[in-house]
Formats: sequence, C-alpha cells, structure tokens
Amino acid sequence: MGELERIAEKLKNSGCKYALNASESNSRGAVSPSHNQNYAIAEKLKASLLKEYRGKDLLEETNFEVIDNRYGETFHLKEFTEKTFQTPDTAISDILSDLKLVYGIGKVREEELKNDGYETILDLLDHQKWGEGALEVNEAFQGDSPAKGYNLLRRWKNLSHPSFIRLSGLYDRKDFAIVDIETLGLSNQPIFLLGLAQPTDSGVEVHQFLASNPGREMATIVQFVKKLENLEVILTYNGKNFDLPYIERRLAYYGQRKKFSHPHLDLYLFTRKFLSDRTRNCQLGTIESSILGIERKVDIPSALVPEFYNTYRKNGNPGPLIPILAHNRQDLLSLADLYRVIIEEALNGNP
Amino acid sequence: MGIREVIAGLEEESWYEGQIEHVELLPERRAEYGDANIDARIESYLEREGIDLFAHQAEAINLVHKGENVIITTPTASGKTLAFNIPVFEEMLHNSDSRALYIYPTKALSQDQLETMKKMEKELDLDLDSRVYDGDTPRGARPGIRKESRIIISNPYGLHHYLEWHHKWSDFFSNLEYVVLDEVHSYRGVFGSNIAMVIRRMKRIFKHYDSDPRFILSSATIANPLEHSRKLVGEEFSLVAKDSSFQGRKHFLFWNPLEYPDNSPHNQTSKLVAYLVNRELQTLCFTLSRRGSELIADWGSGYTDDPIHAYRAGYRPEERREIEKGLRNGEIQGVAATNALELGVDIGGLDAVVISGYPGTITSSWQQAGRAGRGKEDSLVVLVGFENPLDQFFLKHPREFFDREHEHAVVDLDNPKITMGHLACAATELPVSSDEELGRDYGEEVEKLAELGILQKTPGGAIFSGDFRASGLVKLDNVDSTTIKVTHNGDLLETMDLSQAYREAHENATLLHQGKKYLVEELDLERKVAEVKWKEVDYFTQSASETSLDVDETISKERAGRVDTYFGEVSVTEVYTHYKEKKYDRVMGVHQLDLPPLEFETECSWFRVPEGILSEVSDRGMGREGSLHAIEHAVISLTPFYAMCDRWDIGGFSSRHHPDGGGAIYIYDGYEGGIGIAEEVYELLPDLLGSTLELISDCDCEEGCPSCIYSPKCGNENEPLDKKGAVFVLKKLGEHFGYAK
Repeated sequence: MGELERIAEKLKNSGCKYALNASESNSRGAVSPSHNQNYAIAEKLKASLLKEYRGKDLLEETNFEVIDNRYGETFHLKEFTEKTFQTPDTAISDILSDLKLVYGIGKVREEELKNDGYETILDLLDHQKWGEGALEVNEAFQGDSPAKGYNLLRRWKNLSHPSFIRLSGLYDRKDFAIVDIETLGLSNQPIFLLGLAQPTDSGVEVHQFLASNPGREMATIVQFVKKLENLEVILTYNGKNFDLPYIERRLAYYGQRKKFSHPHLDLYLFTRKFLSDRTRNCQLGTIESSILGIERKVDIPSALVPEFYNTYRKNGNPGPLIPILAHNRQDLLSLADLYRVIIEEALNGNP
Repeated sequence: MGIREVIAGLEEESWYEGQIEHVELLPERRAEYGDANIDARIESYLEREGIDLFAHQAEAINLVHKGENVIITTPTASGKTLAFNIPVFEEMLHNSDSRALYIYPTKALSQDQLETMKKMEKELDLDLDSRVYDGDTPRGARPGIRKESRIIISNPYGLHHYLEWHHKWSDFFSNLEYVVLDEVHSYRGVFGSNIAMVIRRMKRIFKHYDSDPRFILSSATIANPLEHSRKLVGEEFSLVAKDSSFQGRKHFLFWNPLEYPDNSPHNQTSKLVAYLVNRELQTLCFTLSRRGSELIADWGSGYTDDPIHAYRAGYRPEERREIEKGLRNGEIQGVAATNALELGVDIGGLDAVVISGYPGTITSSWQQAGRAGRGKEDSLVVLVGFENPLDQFFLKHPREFFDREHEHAVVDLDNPKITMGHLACAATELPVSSDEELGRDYGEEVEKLAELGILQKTPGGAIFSGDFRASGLVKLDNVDSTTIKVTHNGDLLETMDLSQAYREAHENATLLHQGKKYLVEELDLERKVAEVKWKEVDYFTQSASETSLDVDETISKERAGRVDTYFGEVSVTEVYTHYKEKKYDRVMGVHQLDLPPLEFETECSWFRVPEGILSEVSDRGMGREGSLHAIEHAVISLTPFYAMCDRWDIGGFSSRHHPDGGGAIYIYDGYEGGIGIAEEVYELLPDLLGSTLELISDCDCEEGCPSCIYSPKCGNENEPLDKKGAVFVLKKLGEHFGYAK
C-alpha cells in the first residue's frame, strides 16, 4: 500500500470511529436495552435484503424515473396513498377575536376592550386609537395569501401557539408540503433523499427525490425545491431546526443562497407542547406507537440509515435502499395523522 | 535605588556566594519616530493620548496603506497592536460596511485584545461592536455577532469548526478587509502546518464571497519571518523588524545556583525574587512548570511582606484578570508565572524579570526578557540556570546565548498526514476543484480520498461524502484533550490535563493554588475529578515516571549493510511509579503510586545499532547509553531540517537492549496516530545520520553543547551523554549506510 492510501485509510477509520461515537451520543433519548437488539435486527434485515436484491437494478425494481436537470441526474418516485388529510375548519373571525394581534394591545388591555364590547379586530377598525393597527391585522388575514397572516402571527406568537394551527385552516389541503429528508449525518454531510408529501382531495401523493450517489445531491435538491416552490405551506417534524436549515446549508455549499419563506408548521414543537404527557418521549417513532396507533412492521433505526445507504452506494444493490424509502415515506404519512391529532388538541383544548 | 545598586547589594546577602557568572549590559536605545499619513480622527486621538508614532509603527502603517501584507516582528510592548489597529480602524471609519477578523492563539489573548479594541472604539467615538467569538460565546449571541460586529476576535481552533457554517457568516466574510494574526511564531511545526491549512481553507471561502482581505501578522523575533508568513498565509509579505521604541539600559545577569550548593535553584530563585521586590522593583519570574511558579510564589512570599503571586494555566479567568490588573496598576509587586504570561497579555513593563531555567528556545528567552523595561528606565533580567548541562553550557558560554540566532519557524504544506484531513474539511465547506485554490494542486490526495468514499468527485469539484464530521478528523495540536477538574468541597478550584494530573494531582499529592496548599484526597479518573482538601502541610510532593516504548507493528523494514532500519507503529507508555515527599529539597519519604499507565500510539522510525559496535564503545571506555542518547538528541535536533517540523513535534527514545541484540534509537511522532514525520525520517535516515555525524564531530565543544547533543526537552536532564562515543558509533554506522568519510 502506498503512503497516501495508508493515510487515507487511517483517516477513514478514524472517521468511522468518530461517526459511531457521534451516532451513539446523538441518538435523542437514552439508549434502551432493546437498542442493541434493534441494531442486530437491522443488520439481519440488511443481509436478507442484499440477498433478495442481488444483481437487481433500482430502476427496474421500483418506479423511479430519471430526471435530468442542469445539475445532473436525479431519481424521482411518485406514489399515491389513500388517506384523509384534514385541515382545521377555520373562520377568519376566530383568528380576529384575538385583539392582542394589534400592536400595543396586551392581555390587560384586551380584557378592557372586550368589556367595552370590542369582540373582534373588526370591531376595532373604527377605534380612534387602535383602528390603524386593527386595519393592518385585518388586511393581513383578509388578503389573497394567508402567508401575510402567518408573518403577522410570527411577530407576537411563538411557533407552537395554537393560532398557527388555526391559520393553517385557511389553506387548501393541496397547498401543503410535508417534508422529511435523509442525510449521511447530522451536521453538514450530503442529503441523499428528500421526501415531500402533497395531500390531494382523495389522498396523499408522496414524492421522493433520491441522489443515487452524493455527487447527485445538488441535482436532487434542485428538483425537490422546484416542487416545493409551487406549494404554500410546509409541515415537518423538527424541520424548523433541522430539515429546512439543512437544505439551505447544502444549497449554500453549492454556492446558492436561499432562504425558504414558506409558512412552516413544525409539528415537533406542537407535540412537545400538547402531547408530551401522553408519550414517553417525543421521537416520532414513539409518538406513532403511543398516540397514532401505528406499528411499523419493518424499520431501521435512524442512526443506521447512512450505513444502509452507503452499502447501496458501494455495491449498487438496491436492497438496503428499500427500507430507507419506506422509512421516509412512513415518516411523511405519520405526519398527516399527527397533524390531525394536534388540530384536535390545540384547538379544542385551547380555544 | 538604581539597578546597579540593587545588583551590588546582592553581595551583602548571606545567600550570595558569587552566583553571578556574567553581566551583559544591553545599551540604551533612543526612540526614532516616523510619519504616516493617517486619518485625521485617529491623528487627533493619538494627540490626545500623547502618542508619537515610532518609526516601525509608521512604517507598518505606510506599508498597509500601500496595499501590502505586513509582518511585524518587533518585541513585546513595542506598540505592535497599535500599528495594526490604526489601519484597521481607519478602514472602519472610511467604510461603514468593512469588517476585520483578529485571530489569537488563545482565548485569554482574545479577551485581552477585546479590551484594547473597546477602549479605542470609545476614544474614537466609533461603534464597531467588537466581539470575541469562540467556544465560550453563548449560542444565542452568535447570530448577532456574525451580523453586527465589525471586528470579530477568534482563535484557530474555533475557526476550524466555524468555516463549514460560512453561509451564516456571509455578511461578515463578504465585507472582510483585514485579517490580523497575532503571535504567529507560535504557529510552527505541526501546529503551524495545521493553521496554514486552516488559513488556506479560510481564504478559499473569502474568495467565494468575493473578498480579498489584507493580512497583518505579528510575531516574536524568529529567524525567518518572511518565509514563515509566506508559508503560513500563502501571500507575499513586507517585513517590519526594527524596533524603534525607546529602551532603557538592560542589565542581563547569568546566575549559577551551583556556586551555592546549600540552596536549591528554586530556593535561590525565590530569595532573588523576594530580594528584588523588597527593593521596590516590580518583578516577574518565569518558571518552567506550573508547580515551579507555585513554589517560588510560596517560598518567595516568606522573604517579603509583599506577597508573590503565582500565575499559570489552569487558573480561572477571573483569577488571572485580577493578577494582570494588579501588575498593571502596581498593586502587585511580584509574580511567578509560567510561559502563560509570555505571550502578549497586557501587563505593562516591569522593572525586573527572572528567568528560572532556560525556557528551551532563544525566541522564548527574549520574549520573556522583553517583559523587563519601562521606557527609559534601566531594567534587570536574570537568567537562573539549572543544574543540567544545557543551562550550564549557556552560563559558561554567554556569547553562545547572546549571539545565537533565533529559531526557525517551520511549516509543511506537503505532509499528506496533515493535508488530507484538511482536504476533507475543505470539501465540507465548498466543493474542492482541482485547481490551486488551496495553495497547490491536491489532485492526488483527492483521488485517494475519493477511492475510499470520503470524497466524491463531481463536475463541480470533489464533495465530502462521508457519514461523519470532517472537522473531527483534524486535531490542530497535540494538547491532551482530557481535562481533570480539581474540586475543593465540590467547588471547582482549577482544571488540568490528564498528564498534569498524573504528575500533580495523584492521591496524596500536595497541590498549590495561589499560595494555598491542598492535599489530594482522591483522583477519580472515571469522573475526571480530583478532590482536594485544604491542608497547610510543610512538605511538597514530586512524582517520577518511567517511559517505555513497544513496537506494535512493523510496516517497513530495510537493511543497510548489517544495520536494520524500521518504520512502524509503536506504543509509548509512561508509568508514574512513585512520588517523593520533600521538605524544601530534603527527601522525607518515598511512596509507590498505583496509576494506570499513560499510553499513546504513534508512528516511529528506528534503527538498530549492532552489538559489535556497542562492545567496541565499552572497550574504549566510552558509555553505551550516553552514546546512543547523544545520537538520539542530535538526530532530533536535525530532523526539522529534513522533515519540516518543530523539534517539539517529535520524541526520541534510545535503548541499550534491542530484542534482536544491540541497541536501538527510536524517533517517533509526538501525535496520537502519527503525523508523518517519522515516516519521512525513515526515508531519509542515511542522509540524516550522515549530517548528524558532521554536526557532532564538527562542533568545537568538548563534552557536548546545545548546538550538538544537548536537548532543551530531554526528560533525563541531558544525562548521560557521551559525545565521543556518539561520534564513534555514527562513524561505524556510516560504513553500513555509506556516508562514512
């Protein structure tokens, strides 16, 4: 072995050691006794998948289509699932009953005004002092896009406030993009799979954009972004802190500056606020079993996703990709269910 | 009382027995002033402050105005900071978008610089919102600093990690006009090579954001400032080296404690420091170890009413601040410090500096000596030599000290062990294309990393495709990252690294902290805590260790004549075996230590010295051990010229007993896992040994000296060493390697 090979090999080994430690310490929540068992099951799963898909080709085994854009090739898969995606029945008047949305009105003043008969912001429009502010709020919510209302809410409310759930009812279900990505790591490693679920009137259309090797990452992200740009509101689980900034950062890596300005419902924040007493922890998998009643038949621990992908990448056997695709897809579909539960909790429990 | 009288007064002291070996009078130097065409607002600020620019400051400013990168190498307290702050502040005044980045090697220096910045901002009525951005900066404050601060002060360790977040720094990087790097003499050897790579990564990112900042560097005096800056930054530089600030006469004394064997060197140093403080000379004593600073502070305080304070690494920042402030405003008259005070922390000038033990380099010696002197006043420097041959040599040969060239700073950009990790980091920041954006073409290295899947080549350049954090592949220095917390009743007293804890915080060790004595009750290696109890015992402890080296794997082996040379992986093990209880210098008792060995794995190159040669050495009345030991030292002293490293980057070990017979000399990398120097040594061994023979046999000294076989970092106090034996062995080896004359 030459000197450079030896050094590169050493680096790789130290990187692997490092990755292993990181994945152990990064796994949110404590390591359960079943932890190791899960790993063993996953390893077995990988072996059997490798056997099953030996000599087979991803494009032949799945319905992925190849897309060429100016950044190269990427794979796209579209699948339809029957499923109800329910948005809240929101009347604008519900939102406008919160006088605190007007600049300068706090809790105390709101109460005074309500006592004086100002029930909603509409009643305030002619108010000598608050009329101007009320007009601004009213316009934000009566305009052509609820995004203006979202931005106004963001001034006063933190992101887990029920108002945001209420606001989301102003959108058509077809405006939603449920987003979840799969990456090679947690800081700045490439993204290799971007999932986007778009509800329709009869169900949910799941789009998966796959980089069959990290060199196709940019082409893949660009294709995903093209889809996302046509949609109005983003729904994620921890996407406010992870998925969306991560995508922005990867775009910056390739020299593109972009900041997503979509209204964004991060269900993780709502889960922590409204559902934490009903669950052991707030990992999506735990929420599925404890609240949504979903049991995944086959799943791989998130920490092993990079390893499965790398196995696919190394020998081209699509086997290990299959559970990743399923995992990502299930995450997206679970969010549709979780959204429904959160609507109930946030809007009924907290008028 | 003048310095002369103080020196003369020493004769009256009962503990003076003629220890002054030499007095060197460094003449007074008049200040020279210069002109620079600077902004009127700064001009009037200088007037208000009563500052006239020295010629070297004006020169530096004029060069920066001409658009050049500048390196300033004038001594501490010559106004370097002002020289680079002026052009930076001018830029800030002229262009409200401009930003500047200051890089300091330590957090403490960053904080110190921040204070200077704030003062200058205030005086100029300028709001730059200068801030420190490092590991201690709260997460919540970071976005604001990146966006609003026009001057950010950071360190290389932090930048190494921040660079991959460059998109969050886009405002800052896009408007970056100046990068100031202070104390660049410390960026040498492997550490310096790592910094050079960080700077290249940084420059590539600047370019990505269309900025092309000027670099201003400052350094202690080194032999090769221009070459060093060019290699460190990858740009051409202009040099400002002539100090034109005023300097009073400096009396430089060499003090040989062996002339008065009744008192140990530490004890004499303590008396000396106290003597100077008692004569109202504000005195700073530099010691080689943390313990040394505590002992001298403790003992010294016994001879004076003005307590001597200790200052060293491990203290909490508040404690350090307090002492620095006390030195500046004169409330503290005496401090015993480690080299933690050697770098540019602002403490003003002192009347006297005592250097307790040769600090290992000429550069350091003059840095420390430079702390003495307040403007036109006379000042005093005393070098207290220790008993080891290196210190004694300088004491006996003052010209060898005063005329000696400063050390060279070496930086290596071709060591794949260093560059490949940085390539992976760079590829996490932006795709790496094959052109020379990182200083040179690293195509071959990229290829190798791509073969292993760490990088992936794409039309837009190689991207990082590993599933781990690239920045974790690189460690900038070889400082042990395990930190032991020393607690007293559960409160944090100080911190130290693991090997320090082995030496000073083992069970029953006495630990000195700010003059207070503590006894270590327990060293819990699992929890990384040493629990101490306050106890004024009248003894102190000193631990001793033994080092051994085991070959784990031989990677290559070659035969030259009948001599085998090897390259492979080794484990260097240090075992702390026992400690002594000492009252002053008297040993009161010896106790066993039961600590797990400190082991570190690295790469090593070694060669065997056949038994036949060693027998001849003995037959001729020369020492086997001393001969091998001397060769080991001399080889290490020459390695930097062959393998582009610093002497402190490598370690050596010699053994009289090689498993296959004869003795052996080992040269290993001082970095966990190896850093490529030993491998280079393996390739060059015949040349290296040939030069070693020349070095030793051409040296005019009798028994050895710092130019040949004395090592400034020997763990055995440079004993035993046999110069003639070394020459003999090297000549014999030459018959096999083919360099013999």
